[in-house]
Amino acid sequence: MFSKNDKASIRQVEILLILDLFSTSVLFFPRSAAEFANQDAWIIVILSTLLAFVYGYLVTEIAMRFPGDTFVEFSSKILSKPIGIILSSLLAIKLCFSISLELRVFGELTKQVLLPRTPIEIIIASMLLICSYMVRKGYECRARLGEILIFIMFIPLIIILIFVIPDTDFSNLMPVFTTPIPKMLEGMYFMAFTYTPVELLLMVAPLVNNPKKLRRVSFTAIGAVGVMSTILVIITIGVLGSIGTKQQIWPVMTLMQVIEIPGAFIERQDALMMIFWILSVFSFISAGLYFISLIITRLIKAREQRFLVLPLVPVLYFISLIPNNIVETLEWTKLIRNYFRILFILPIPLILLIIARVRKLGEPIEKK
Amino acid sequence: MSKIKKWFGNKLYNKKREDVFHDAENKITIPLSKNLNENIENLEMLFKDCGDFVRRKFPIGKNKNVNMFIAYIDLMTDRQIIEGSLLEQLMIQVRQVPPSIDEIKTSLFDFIRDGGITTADIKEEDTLDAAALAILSGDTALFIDGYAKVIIVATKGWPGRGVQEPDSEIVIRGPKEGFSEALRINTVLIRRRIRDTKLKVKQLQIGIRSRTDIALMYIEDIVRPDILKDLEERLNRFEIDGILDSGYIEHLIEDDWKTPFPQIQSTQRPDKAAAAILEGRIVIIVDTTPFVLLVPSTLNSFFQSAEDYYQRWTIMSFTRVIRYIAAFFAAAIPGFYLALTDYHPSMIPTPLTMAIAASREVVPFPSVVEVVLMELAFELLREAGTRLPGPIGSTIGIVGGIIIGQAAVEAKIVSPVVVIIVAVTAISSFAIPDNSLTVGLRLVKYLIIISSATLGLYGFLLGSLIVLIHLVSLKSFNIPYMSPYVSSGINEYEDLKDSIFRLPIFMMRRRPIFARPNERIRLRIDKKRMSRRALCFLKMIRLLLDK
Repeated sequence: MFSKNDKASIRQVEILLILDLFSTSVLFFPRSAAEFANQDAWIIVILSTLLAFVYGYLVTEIAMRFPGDTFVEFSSKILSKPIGIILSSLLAIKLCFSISLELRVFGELTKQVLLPRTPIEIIIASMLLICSYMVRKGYECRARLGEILIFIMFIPLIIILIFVIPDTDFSNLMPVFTTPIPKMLEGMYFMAFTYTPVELLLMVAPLVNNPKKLRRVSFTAIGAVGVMSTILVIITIGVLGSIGTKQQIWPVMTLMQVIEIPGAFIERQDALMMIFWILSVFSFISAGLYFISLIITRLIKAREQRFLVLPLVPVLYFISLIPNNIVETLEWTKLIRNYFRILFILPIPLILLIIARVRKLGEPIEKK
Repeated sequence: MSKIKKWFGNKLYNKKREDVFHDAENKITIPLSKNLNENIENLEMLFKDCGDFVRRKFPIGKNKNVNMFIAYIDLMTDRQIIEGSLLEQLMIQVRQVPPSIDEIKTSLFDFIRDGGITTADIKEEDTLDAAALAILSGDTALFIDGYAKVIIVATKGWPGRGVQEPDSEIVIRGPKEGFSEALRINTVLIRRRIRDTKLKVKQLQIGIRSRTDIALMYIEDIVRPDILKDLEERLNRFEIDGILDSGYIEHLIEDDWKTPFPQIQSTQRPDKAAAAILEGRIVIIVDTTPFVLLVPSTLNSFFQSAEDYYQRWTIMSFTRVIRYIAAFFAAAIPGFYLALTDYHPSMIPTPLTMAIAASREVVPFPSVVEVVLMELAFELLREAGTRLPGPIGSTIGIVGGIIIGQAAVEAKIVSPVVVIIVAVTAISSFAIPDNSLTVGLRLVKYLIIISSATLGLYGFLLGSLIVLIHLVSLKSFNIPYMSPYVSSGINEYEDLKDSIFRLPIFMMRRRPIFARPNERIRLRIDKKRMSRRALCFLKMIRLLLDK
């Protein structure tokens, strides 16, 4: 039975995907949603989740066609080798940038909330080293750790959210449907970028013991994250109001500072929120690091993945230190998001899928 | 393998000594001779300068024309058997048997073997090496003139401790028997609990010099064949001069040598070993030690004590939770304290912050030094206490309690809060049922202290992550160490029923993952006779676990 456990189980992949999806955005998610639609932000979140289901469908459709291959292999099978290599390297570079920027944001926030006197370099470097330690242990270990982390992260978060509910003023959400539809659609389009980690499923198929169920994975994960973020947005706007939400860089952190848990021994819940944030950033960065090293391993056809991890650490470290401050980092993030992120969840899977269908490559998925 | 064998053979047994009587594996190469005197000479030479070697040559038959020779090691044997079943028979009874001994001289060996010795456990050997090994193991060797064979009579019986109550793993309710140093007593203690011919006792000898007996006990059709095969391979992959405790075996066959966490459980309790066998695990019994090994082991199994299953499930579930919290405290409390007081005093309620600050005002050291100092003092105290005999041991407690507890605070070397922290850590570490796990957590504690002291709460999390990553990467005989928490869906969540909670026995119907996949059912209950409420509860649990 356990000889099969060299690969992650479907449930484990699901958990990992939830962790990756939820971590990237949670702290400023309500702010960007509120910027588009004020008190209607939660509608945007729901709409963007619906759009994410489309991403999930596309990505898993192509991944399930090639259950033994990662993106590196099937893209070169479909679109000839040179284009495949270019696309894979592009994906690796994209991942490098997005996790480096995430790392920078994380470092800034940790410095601001927890360690005001510690240089940000140390925070970033230590996080990178721990992630590379994780990545060196392999995908199964990451999957196993995910099963533990999800409890450590979500149970406190849910408890805190329950305590916030009495402070929530639902009249802040009124009136509904005031945003014009084009603005709404624009918001939906941009908010759906938070679901870009779904693209990691492009590479996960050979690591899973039952790749035929990947669609279920993507849908459950997107659904769960969608519900969580909708609740979070509703509560944040309910407590802070839509204008208050827009003014904060990290509205969720502010939310945590505002609330008071009756009888709690710890006075500042925002630090508790930081625990959640640190753990989720850890899981996101180790995911990114893992898949970058996986892409490179597959590209150069190396036998061992572990040795590629440490050389990546300084690269990511320097990329994360390029922006001068947090605002610039967020600008960069936006830049990459607008011109880069969409590629791998919508156009590329679509093109690959169409060509694969036309050329009749891969295993067709039997319809139920 | 043969290469390794050669290399080890040379290392362990130095051939250069020009010892022509032993081969590279320390086996005696001299053949048995038909001539009794030659055999005696050889034995005398082998056992030269062995003061505990007892031998006697005596004639047999009316004319006393055939000689015999017995040899054994003093006090390793049961004298009654030697005297009553062997010597008396041979010296008195056999001489009176008609026809006279001369007539059956040609089949004398068979005659003695079949009718001369009144004890059941005898066997024939035809090498001197086997004979010498038998003598050294406490058996008696009987040589007969004219035969190149030897009769080995099982006369093992050395002074032992007998079956006593184990001094670790004490229970309030449950059997009080503990394993002993003698292998045979230990196998009996398990056999008495499982009367099944499928309970196998596979014996082998390890140790080129010590020739220690080792028994693998398992139920043939429950144990997983891959694990059994793996274990046997691992036992064969080394050669060692001597095994003095099961610890040697444990550390030679474990998966990861770098970890502070134990990967193989050891126990002194036969009921625990029997339970493990019934779960499909393999018990390794090593002669000369009361600690038997249970493989494979998961982190969860170190939190299970034998008593968990004898007391009511409600209270034992509560105790389990307490144990897990204790393990967390034992590893994390000092680090957490440092992270909070040094970096995030604002997280603690203001009155408490003030109290801590006030008590720390007079202390000259930074709080890291203070905590490490006190932790080390406690380690010293513990180390001193364990090695000392009982009466002096209690003095240590008093000295430690007064000097380190009270006087250090009054002398303003440490603050009282730190004393409390260290005490909570210590008590928590004693609340974990398995000592080897406690030892591992003691080391982890220092890692977390260092990381928290350098990076505050962030460092605390990083330290905990390192430990967690390490834990999930461990495996014991190909079973994830953190199972059942990390092996989702495997065995239909049955293992979770005996993890952080211990659910009622009637719910634990399937064996854990240690067992062979098609032999998982361990309990069948007539559903008609179960109360409806219990059935309903069972369904609820199943629903919850299936999310």
